[in-house]
Formats: sequence, C-alpha cells, structure tokens
Amino acid sequence: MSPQHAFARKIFYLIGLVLLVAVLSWLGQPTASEGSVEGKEESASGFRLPNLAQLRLRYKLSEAQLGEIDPAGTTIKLATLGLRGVAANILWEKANNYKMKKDWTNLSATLQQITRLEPHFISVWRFQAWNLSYNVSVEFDDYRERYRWVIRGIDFLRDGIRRNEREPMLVWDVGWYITHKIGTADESKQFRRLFKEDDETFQRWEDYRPAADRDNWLVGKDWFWRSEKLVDQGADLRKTTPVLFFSHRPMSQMNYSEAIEKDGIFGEKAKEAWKKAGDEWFEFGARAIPTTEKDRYIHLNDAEQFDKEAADRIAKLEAFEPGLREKIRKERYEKLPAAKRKAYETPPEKRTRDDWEKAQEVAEQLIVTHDQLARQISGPNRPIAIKLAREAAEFEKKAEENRLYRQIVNFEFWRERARYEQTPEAIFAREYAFKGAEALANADLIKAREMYEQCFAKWRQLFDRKDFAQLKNDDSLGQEIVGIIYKYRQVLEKSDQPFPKDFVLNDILELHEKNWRAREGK
Amino acid sequence: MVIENPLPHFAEWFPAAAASWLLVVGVLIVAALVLGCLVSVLRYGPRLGFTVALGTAVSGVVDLVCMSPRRVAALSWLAVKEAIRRRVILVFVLFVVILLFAGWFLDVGSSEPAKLYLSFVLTATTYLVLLLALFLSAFSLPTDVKSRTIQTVVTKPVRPSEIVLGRMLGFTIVGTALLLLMSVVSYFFVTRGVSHTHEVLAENLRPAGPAVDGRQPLSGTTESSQGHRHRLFVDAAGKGVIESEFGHWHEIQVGGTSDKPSFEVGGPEGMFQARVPIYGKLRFRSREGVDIDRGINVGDEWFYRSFIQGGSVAAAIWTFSNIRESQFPDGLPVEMNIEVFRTYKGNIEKGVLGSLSLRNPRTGLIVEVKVFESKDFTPLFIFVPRKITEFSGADVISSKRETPDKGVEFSPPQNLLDRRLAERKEFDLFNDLVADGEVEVWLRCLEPSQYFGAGQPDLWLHAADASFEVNFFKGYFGIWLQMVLVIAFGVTFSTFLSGPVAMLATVGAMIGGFFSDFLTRLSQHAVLGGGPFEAIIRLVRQENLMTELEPGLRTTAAQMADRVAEAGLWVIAHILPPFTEFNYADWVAYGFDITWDPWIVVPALRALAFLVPVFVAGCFFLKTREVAQ
Amino acid sequence: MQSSEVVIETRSLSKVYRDFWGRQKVRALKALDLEIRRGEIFGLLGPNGSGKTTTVKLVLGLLFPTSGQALVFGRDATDVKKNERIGYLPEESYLYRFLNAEETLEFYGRLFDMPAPLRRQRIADLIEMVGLGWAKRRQLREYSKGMTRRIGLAQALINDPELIVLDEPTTGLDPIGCREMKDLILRLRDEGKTILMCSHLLADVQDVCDRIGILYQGELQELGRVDSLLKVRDTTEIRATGLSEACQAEIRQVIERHGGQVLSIGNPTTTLEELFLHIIRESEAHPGRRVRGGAGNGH
Repeated sequence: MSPQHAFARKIFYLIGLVLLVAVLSWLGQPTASEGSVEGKEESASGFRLPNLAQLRLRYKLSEAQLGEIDPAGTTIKLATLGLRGVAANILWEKANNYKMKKDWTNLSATLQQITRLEPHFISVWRFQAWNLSYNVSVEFDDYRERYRWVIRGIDFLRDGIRRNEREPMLVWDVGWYITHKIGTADESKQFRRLFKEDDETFQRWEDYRPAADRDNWLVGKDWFWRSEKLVDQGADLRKTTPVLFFSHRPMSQMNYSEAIEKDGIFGEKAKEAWKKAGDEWFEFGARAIPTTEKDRYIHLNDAEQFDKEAADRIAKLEAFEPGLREKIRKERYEKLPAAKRKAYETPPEKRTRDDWEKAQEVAEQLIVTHDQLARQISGPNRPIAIKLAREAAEFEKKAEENRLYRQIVNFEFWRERARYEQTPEAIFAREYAFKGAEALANADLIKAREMYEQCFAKWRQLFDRKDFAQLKNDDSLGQEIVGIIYKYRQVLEKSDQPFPKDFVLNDILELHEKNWRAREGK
Repeated sequence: MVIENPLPHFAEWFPAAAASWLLVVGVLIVAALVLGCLVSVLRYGPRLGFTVALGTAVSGVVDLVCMSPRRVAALSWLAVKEAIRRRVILVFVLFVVILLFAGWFLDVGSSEPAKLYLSFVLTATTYLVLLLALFLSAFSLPTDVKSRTIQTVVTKPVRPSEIVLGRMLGFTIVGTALLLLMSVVSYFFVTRGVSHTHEVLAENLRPAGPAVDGRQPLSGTTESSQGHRHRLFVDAAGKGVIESEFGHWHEIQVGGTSDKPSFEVGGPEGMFQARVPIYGKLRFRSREGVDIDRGINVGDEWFYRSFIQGGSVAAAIWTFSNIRESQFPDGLPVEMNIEVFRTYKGNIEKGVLGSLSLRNPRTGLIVEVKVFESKDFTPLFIFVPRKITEFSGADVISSKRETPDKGVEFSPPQNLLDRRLAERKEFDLFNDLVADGEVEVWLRCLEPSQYFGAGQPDLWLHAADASFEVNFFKGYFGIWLQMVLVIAFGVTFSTFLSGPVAMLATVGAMIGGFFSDFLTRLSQHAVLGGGPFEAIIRLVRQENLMTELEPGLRTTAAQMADRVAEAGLWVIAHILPPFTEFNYADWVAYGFDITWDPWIVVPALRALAFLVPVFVAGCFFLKTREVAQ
Repeated sequence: MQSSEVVIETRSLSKVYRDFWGRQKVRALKALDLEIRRGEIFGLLGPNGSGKTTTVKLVLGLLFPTSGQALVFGRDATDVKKNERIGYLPEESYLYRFLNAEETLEFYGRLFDMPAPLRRQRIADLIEMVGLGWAKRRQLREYSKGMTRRIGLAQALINDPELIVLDEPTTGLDPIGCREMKDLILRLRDEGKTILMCSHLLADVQDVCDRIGILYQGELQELGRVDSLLKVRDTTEIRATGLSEACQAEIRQVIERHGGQVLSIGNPTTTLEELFLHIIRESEAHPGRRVRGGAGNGH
C-alpha cells in the first residue's frame, strides 16, 4: 500500500468522523426553549427537523422527566456497551429459571438487575411485580411469608414508580395489589391484620396515617387517587378501559365499608363509611369519562336525566294525537298475512321453531318508532312532532349507551347498595347478624336466636320504608338475607324449635330462596 | 441447598471416569495423528510427509517428557513479570471500586443478606479474574511473536512445551495472588456488610407471664435494623433469647435493674457457617406401600423435588450409611428443607403436620421420633437423641417392599420380622436403629390431602461444623479452577492465533462452557424452538416457540441442517469444560461445607482432565508453527 | 585455524512464503547449498530482501524450509538440542523491555539450564565485557540503541556458544562501537568459535569475514574467500616506496614493453563494493545464474 493511498484513506475517515459528529451534535443540541417545555416548539420549528432534545421534550422521554435518575442503572447500562437488550434478555431467562427452581433471593436480585437495565420498560415492572406478589407469594406455605412477598411485589412497583413518575398504571397497580391482593386473597383476614401491624412498611412508604386508618382498602384507595391524578394531568391510560379505571377508587370505599362490617365495626363509623362510599360513587358518576369515540365523554349519572327528557318529549308527541301509536300498530297487524298472525297469536309455550321466527318478525314489524309516529301527524304540528320524535330517539339512545357503560361497573347496584347500607336499619341489621353469627360460633343459641330475630326485624323495617320500595327485589341482598335465615334455621333446629309460619321476612324467602338454593347447590 | 447434579465420591467415580477419559484422549490422539499425517502429506508429499509427521509426534513427546523445571521456572517468572508490567494490579483496584459502590446493588433488607453478599462478591471476583486471565493469556504469546522477542527465546534450548507451561504457570501464579488478595478483601466486605445489631427498648416489651421474685418475664420485638426485627423473650431470671429471623440470631445480655432493664445485643450469629452435611440416598414409599424412586409430581415444572401424600403410608426415605457411634455419640442432628403443597386451605395460621421416624433396615423397626409443624423454604432442625424415650406411637415393624419385574420382593422377608421389638418403651439409637452403620430416616406428612416435597439433598445429617473461613476460601478455589482453565485455553489458542482472535476463541470456549448444559440440551433436541437454523426461521418470521413451522422445503432443509448442527453442538458441549460445575457460590452462601471428597477432589480432577489435553495441544501447535514471520 | 568439521550445512534449502490461503507469495530462498566450517567467519551479503535473514532463520529453526534441509552440528535445524551450542544476536535486539540487564541475562542463562554459580559468574563477566556495568539495573526500555545492541550480544554469548549467528551486528553502532564489535568478532574466532554473520554493510564483511556468500533475490550469486574474491586477476597493483622519478619512468617503460598499460599508480580502493554492484548487474543481465556452495568452492 502506497503512502499516498494510506494518507488519502486517513483523510477520508477523518472527514467521515467530522460529518458524523456534526450531524450528531446538530441533532443533539439543547433546545432554545429548554425552560418552557410543552407545546411551544411547534412555532419555533417551522420547516426545521425537530432535533433530538426537542423530540425528547415533546414525548417526555428525557430521564429527568420520566422519573428519578438512577446513577447505578445508568452505569450498568453503559457497561453493557450497547448490548442492553441482550443482557436484559439473558437476565430475564435467568429470572425465569430462578423462579422455576424456587430460588427466591436470586430471583429478586435478578429482577432488580433487569429493571436497572430497562428502567422505563413498564411491562417489565408490571409483569415481575405480579410475579412476586401473586406467583411467588403463594409458593410459600406460611402466610406471613406470603404477605412478605406481596409487599415485596408492591415495593418493586414503587421502585418502578420512582423511575417512571408519570406512569399511571404502575400507581394503579400498587392500588390494586394493596386493595385486592391483601383484601380479597384466601388469606385476606391474616393479610389485613399483618398490613395494619406493619409499621416498617408504612415507615418505608413514608405513610404516616394514624393506625386506625391503616386499612388496606383505604391505603389502596389513595393510590387509585394518585393514578387518577396522573391521568387527569394527561398521562396515557394505555389499554385500560377508562370507566373501569375510574371506578376503583370509589369501589375501594365500598369494599372498605363492607370489610369493616365484616370485622365487626358498626354504628357511626360504618354509617360514615357507607355515606362516603355513596358520595364518592356519585362523584364517580359525575366524572366525565372518555368513550371509545375520540373526545366524547359521558357521565354515568346522566341516564335518569336522559330518561326524563325522552319521556317528556314522548308525552308531548303523543299528546298531539292520543292513541295514534296503537292505531298504527293495529293497521299494520291487520295487513299481515294470516300465517304470521297465527304464529304471533299462538301462546309462546306452544310455538314451533318456525312460529318463533315468524312471531319475532311480527313483533319487530309492530314496533312504531317515534319518527314513524310523528310522520303520521298532519297539519302544523307535523314539523314540531318530527323534531320531538328525533329528540326523543336521541335521548333514548343516550340513555341506552349510558346504561351500557353503567353495566361495566355495575353502577346502579352499588349506588343502591351505598344508599341502603347507610340507613340505621341496615347497619343495625348487619350488626345483629354479626353478633348472631358470633353467638352461634360460641354455641350461645339463645343469644344467637335473639340477635337474628332483631336482625330480621331491622331488615323488615328497611324493606317497608317507602324510599326503598324496590329493595326487596334486589337479588344480591335477598340471597344474602336468605343465607342468614338459613343460619337462623340452624339455630332453631338445634334448639328444637319450629320455623315460624308467620316469619317476618317470608316475602324475601319466597322471592330469593330458589336462586339462593341454586347458587349454594342445596 | 439445591444440588441438581450430585457428584459420586472419588472412589466410585474415579475408575469409570479415568477409563472414559483415557478413551477420549486416545481417540483425540489418533484423530490428531491422522490429521497431522494428512496435512503433512499434502505439504511434503506421501513419502516425506509420514516421516515428518511421525518425527514431529515423537519429538513432541520427547518435548513433553524432557521438560526442565529450571527453564519452566524462568519462563513462569517472565510471565509474572510481564503480567505485573501490564498492570494487573488495576484489576484489583477495580475490584475495590466495585465493592465500594456495591451498596447500590445490594439490598441488606433482603431476607438472606449473607447469601446475597456472598453471591455478589463471588460473582464479581469470578468475572474480574476470568477477564484478567483471558486478557493475560490470549495476548501474551502473540505479543511476543509480534515484537519478535520470542525469537530470542526459542533460539535457546527451550522446548515449546516449556514455553506453554511457563506461560500457564506464570499467569496462574499472578491470578492466584490476585485471587487471594480479593478473597481476603471480600471476606471483610461480606462480614462487615451484613454485620448489625438491634436496639431493644424496654418500653416496647410486654410482660409475658407472672413475675418471679419481682422480676417480670418480657416479650416483644427488637427495633428494626437492616429491614428486619427479631422476636425476643426475656425470662424471669433475666436471660434473654432472640429468635432467628432472616437466617441469623443475636446474643443478648440483659442488665440494669428489674424495673429499668437495659439490653445489649451482639452481632449476627449463624449467618456464616459451614455445616458438614452427610447426605443419604432418597427413595419414596408410595401410597400403596411400595418403594419407588420418585414420588408424586404436583405440577411443578422442575422435577427436582417430588411429593408424598399426607395421611397415607407414603413417605420419603433417606438411607444413610457409615453412621458411626464415634461420630454421633449424643444422637443424630437431622436437618431438612421441605416444600409444602396444600390441596386445600386448611388452617393457614398453622403449618402442616409432619413426622420424622427412624427405621432399622435390618430388623424393620420404625420409631417415630418427632411430630413437627412444617415451614417451607426454611431449614428445620430435629435432634434425635441417643436414648429415645419420647416417641409418638406408630412404632411398627415394616419391610421394604419393591416390585421388580419378577414380582413383589420384601426386605427383610416379612416372616422374619420380630414383632416384639416394637413393644419396648425405650430405644437406643445405635443398638436398635442403626444396623451396620446404616439407618433410614422417614419423612411423612400427617394431614390427609396435603403434600410434602423433597429432593435427595433436602435432608441431611449435620455431622459437624467446619470453619466458615476455610470454606470461604474453598469457594474461591472454584474460581481458581475456572481461572486456570481460562488461562490454559487462552495460552493454547494464542499459540496459533493472533491476540484478538485467540481472545475471541477463548471467550467462545468460556461461553460454551458456561452454557454447556444448554448446549447439551440443544444437541439432544430438548429445547423448545428447535436447533439454530429453525430458530433463525422463527426469529425472522417472528413465530413463537410453540407453533409448528409450516411444512415445506424450507422447514425440512432447516431441520436437516439442525441435525448436523446438533451433532457439532454435542461435540462442542462435551469438549468444553463445564464452568458452572466449578461454581461453589451456593455452598458458601447457604453455609454448607464444601467437602473435599467429592466436591473439591472430583472437580479438581475434572479440571485437570481438561488441562492436560489443552496443554498438550498448545505444545503441538507451538511446535508446528513458525515463530518468525 | 579452520578445521574440516562442518558446522552448518544446507542442502538445497528453499523457502517460499505463502499467504493465508496458501498461495505462493515470495520465493525467499532458492535451493541454497552451503557449508560453514568450524573456526571460520562466514558473511552473508546481500541487499535488503535478498534472503540473508531467511537463511539465518532457517538455520536457527525459526522458520521451516519449504524443501531441502538445514543441518547445524549435524542435527536438523528444528532440533532444540542444537541451541545449547548456539548464540544468536538478532537484527534488532528482541529483548523484553521490562527487564533490566541483569534480569535479562539471568533469564536467558536459566533457559540454558545453567547452574546458579556458573550463571552468576558468566553474567558478571559478560556485563563487564560489553561495558554495561554502570547500567545493569536499568530497564531495557531506557537503553539507547547501542546499549541494547551490547546487551543483545551479551545475551547471545551467555552460554559460551560454539556457533554464533549475528544478524546485522553493527547496525545502530557508532564507529567506535563498530570497531569494537568487529574486534570482538575476530577475538571470538580466535577462541575457535564459528561465526555466521549477515550484513548489508560491505565494510564489516570485508574487514572480518574469512568467506562470504553474496545473495541476491534468494539466490547465491558468489561464494568464496574474501581475498580471492577481491583479487582482480588481470590487474596488478604496485605499491612501493622510495622510488625516484626515473625509476617510475623505467617501470612504465617495462610495462609498456610487455604490452601493458599503466592505469594509475596510487592508493588502492575498496573493491568489494564494486564486486557487489557488478554481481547485481550481472544477475539482472543473466537471471538464474547460481553458485553451488560445496566444499572448497571459490578457492
């Protein structure tokens, strides 16, 4: 190789290097508007390609924006010399292996290493926290160890939050683990107790609430609230259904109220709890919840209002020509072929498969929509009628949509439940039931019977209240009461007493016993 | 501690191992000779070729035999000098820096801090020392060739074998010195790192029972330190006990007056031990009362442990041999680590009940020594006293029942059982239960439909306590073996490759060695997703491991290519040293003594079995290359 | 002092350098036949890349011949045993720069398996001989070129060798150093040692060598005793003193009468250089001409 050639090559490399560095430094130069972050760079950019710093700001990707900066993690990342992904993969394999071989200490150490390498990979945090709290914890036989691992999973998530402060799902997960893993697991009784006594964890979490408020449902609720805040500030919900997401905070209050009654706390405290649950549920209903359509929101509380609006317009519409709807129906019916009419008239239990289809068709044909009704009206009222019809249909549609969303979170059930649970009758009824069960467990049959009877009396009072006229149709409550009645029966059987004929809640038994038996398999 | 691949004792292992080693080496020698002749014939023609090849082989053997210790020593000394000149001490500095910043990675709040710390220092040392060994060994000879200093050396009456051995020895000496230094620093780092005490505040203790002589027994917890606290009891006499938590306990001294006691808590105890275990041989008794090799699988992915059903005759049975009265004059200290599997919730505040029995394999006498409450992933200690007076019924006589092909077999035969044995009220461990040094330990689960799981090393006799310090250094011996292997491979590769290439080749050998287990499974077609070619197809087409590949020419071709690749992988997996076998981190971390036989002797010999051929190969490569370019 | 014992013998020694793929790159040495006897100083002469160093390395066993054979003390060149009687000073002293002079000699001394007392004595003597006593504790990296050369020489003599192979022994030495080196070479010859040296410095070779071989492009072009090679047969050089003008005129006449022609009468010139250039010109004019270096050739 001639010296000239070698020299030319060196120059070539040098020029290449300079070019690369120039491009890089241009891309990476700090924005002029580093201080004022969002939204402003559009005007400044114009035709210019946005540089890296701007892009980083716009998508909130700079380390400082994402969360606490972790020097150790950064060091490790650099030490892998760009093979971070490979290293994380190997560690992931290793973690799986440790999990399979039940080497928990090494598993958690490896998880820590993975998250050091990939601190902003949200799924890693979520997946492995779940692993710790749900999968690893149940491997232990000792419930105290299980509890420790649940907390370890939560701590893992909290680590994730420190690195990703704007990630609502991590915060939400913490809420979920604290509420549901601790509150509804098989060991929930022990877990809730351990959680209340866990000074260290509360200290570590810098949560200095009074000991009485260390209920997992309340603590978890605060985390749901924090994640809602983040979403309100514009964080992405990812794939979570918004209506479900926002329901968990008020639901935690419901669960809390239920849980303290299970623990035997009644009276004013229970009342307050249920009242708060009702209020928060109402707030939830008043919140604007994004729908699947972009920029369209609904409020769950609105369904009744829509009903009213629709009914109002229908009433006005029908007032133009009373009986018109029925008339149209009749006309249509008469025009139908005889075979169809015959099928329609056959009582449902005698219909053949063919009849069913025909009857179905007839029923559909007989529906008179508001619009069809309005178009039959003649004279000056016709345009008004058509407008009313359109509005009525719109409100009906809105109410229907609203109810669809309500069903996702069982909105009406919980609204009703919070309403009746805070009545003195319900609280007393529950207290008596609790005492009755306690007495039964202590084999104090006389007291048990007395308590149960008082309990039923209280329920009676509640059902008889005008503002709870529909309550006895509530399937869930009804079945619950049937369950209590069966315990009461046991008490009576043990004390060789017959079940009273004129039992105070006979109507409830009649309504719900069948379903209860079906559910209990008796 | 989990021992997935138990090693046989030296005496059992050696004859077969030596034979297979000789066989492999023989095959390799023949292969090398054939290859050498072939190359030689190609280069020099048939007549001269054979002569040259055989001459080289003969003089090579002479080289190996006639090595001069003084020359080897001089060359080692040169290698040491060179290593020092290349600033190996920097590696030590780096190690110290890593330790200084280790706090970033180590969570003292972990439930087994000692294990974490030990794993960390051992891993860090391994990586650093292996890296050092790699760089030293792979670049030394190529540098000499490049700077031509080798020419001055080989024109002296130096044999290639002496150069190779000198290099290997010299770098080993340097590495050993460094390793010693690191181990001493690590030792202090670990013991200091997890050392802590707890405060005990009198106001946090509650009375526990009636006062005696005005002194109140107390119970409560210590204050938190390193993420945990201990339960604590102080009896009326003022004697305190701190319960074990996170794998250790503390000594406590109670002072002060009865109404104003003061407490002094010592450092952690029991964190660093080196228990000398005696392992038995495990078999299971099925629910049907037949002895089998494995118990029930409760759905674990990992087959290490298998399970016995509670409330049945099922049992896990360990047979210990060579149990001598002189070794256990007071009784048998049994320790175990069992896994609990519940099929129903039961009382979750309590562990599942289990029982431990001893059985005399000759007479069939079974004595149930202890009923205990299980706790999994934590060692349980049961001491079987010499004189067994307290035992909980179930004292029966039982034969071992097996069903080999020829029918049911009982040992001892049922008609020979002496049923009167069980009527006694007191048993002597050695007279009644140990027969010719053999005794069986039976583990049973007492609650119906709950299960206990165990693997062979999950129950052991705690024969003695060795020194933790010695064990710690034995742990470093494992790293030492790995280092020596890396040096040997590095030097050998560097006899015929340039520095960077030799380094890559050595790294390849190391990676292959570290993953030899995986390679073996890959070559046996036991890995999901197929061999390398199939894997490439899956990667490119983004198919997961489970889906069947579309049948067709491409798939068939890939799978056929994989068969070939698998054969190659099999060979590679078997000629590379299994580095993970020399990893003693678990022993040290879990506090088990790395017993000489087999855990030191056998791996050391295995390493030697690799070192010798690698060394010989290095000599031949150096001999047959031109050192001047 | 020369005996009939052959120390180095090459039989049609050839070397072809090949590249990584085995393709022929350079034919560095073509069928060299050479015999060097005990007690002589043999010089290999040739321009850079003529095959001198290749020959030396083949003789030392640092390279393996493509064909032919090199024998030293009757043994094959690849046999390490022969090294016990050889001292080699490479072209540039290839020594470990992190060692000091004493350590260097100590190291090479041990490679000869020399017992410690003998080794120590020998090291002291050699350091004395090459005059590095004042710098014996300094690392070689601090040495000047000349000092490195000297310690290289000391290293080559550590085993009191019978055969000394010197590759460009005077490069990097100042005139005094050169002179000392040449004196040393002559002294070693006088001690009965055989010396093979190669050089492209004609003056060195002319001054000390008994016999030389001239290599050009891998082929031996000329071989013989230095004196006979340099004797130009049809030229007579007359050097006398105390002749009068008349006497000189008379001599001229005598020469002319015999049909001769007076070229000049004066100081002689160095003719090895001329010989060398002549050979190279000849070789380029008649490629393939080669001298066989059998015994007694060129006398």
